[in-house]
Amino acid sequence: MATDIEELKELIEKERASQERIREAKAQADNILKNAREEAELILRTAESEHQWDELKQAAEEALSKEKGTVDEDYERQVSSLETSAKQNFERAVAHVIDAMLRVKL
Amino acid sequence: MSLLELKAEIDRNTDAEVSKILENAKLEAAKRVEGAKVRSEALRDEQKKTLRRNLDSTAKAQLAVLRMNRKGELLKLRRQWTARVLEEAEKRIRKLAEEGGSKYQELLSNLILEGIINLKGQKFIVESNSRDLETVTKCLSKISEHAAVKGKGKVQCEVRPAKIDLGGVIVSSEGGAQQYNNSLAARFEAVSQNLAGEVQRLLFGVGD
Repeated sequence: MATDIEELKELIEKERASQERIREAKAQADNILKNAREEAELILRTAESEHQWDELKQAAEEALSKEKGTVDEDYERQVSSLETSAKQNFERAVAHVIDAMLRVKL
Repeated sequence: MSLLELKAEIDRNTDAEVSKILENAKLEAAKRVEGAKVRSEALRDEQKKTLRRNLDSTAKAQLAVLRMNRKGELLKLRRQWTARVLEEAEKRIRKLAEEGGSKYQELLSNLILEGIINLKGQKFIVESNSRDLETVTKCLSKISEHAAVKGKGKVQCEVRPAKIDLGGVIVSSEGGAQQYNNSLAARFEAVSQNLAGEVQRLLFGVGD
């Protein structure tokens, strides 16, 4: 009988230890989930951050600046071409206007 | 079942339960992180698309404004050169009129004759500025001859002084019902309006 009680006690102790291990495992599982939640939040926070686009914005600004430069260069070329043409043809144009002014229909 | 066997059974069950709890937690954790990664990727894609769209439209708008401004400046440059041509032409015509040489005298005669030919009747008033008055008076007889040749018959002209800045004449029918403004200022005004396009073509070439 004494042996039976002793064995029963051992079994109860074993069962208690088992429950404790399971409780610890659950706590550990909660911790794993908590860490995962934090990691997920960090991932989403990073995705929402504006700073990640700084490089893209910078590249777009540079491309726009380059394009503006091309437009300006093209404009300067056209100005130069117009000026040259106007200087070359100035006298001819003045003579044409004078001729038209002095032309009388009789 | 012996005590040892029971204890071993409890251990096995406990191990299995612990293992299951931890395995499930790890799976759930991995699922959460993976879900966050997928959402984050989608969010980033959407943000990137939106940002690109905004940057593109901003760039397009800025370039359109710049091109429009540059085009306007080129147009202004063309107009400035056209104005310079007209200005120079006016300057030379003014000089011609002020010097009053034979070329200008001939011009005055022709301007009067053109006025007479284009007006009805045979009696006319010819107005000129005080500088040209004498020249106009002198050439009237010749003008009458030319007018006769042009089929106007015998014309009579009265010369009157008037404020005509650049030179030229204003010819009116008797009574003033009809008027032919052949002042150089009026002719210059007409030429400026009618020839602006032609002057630009002469200056900058066909198609400009």
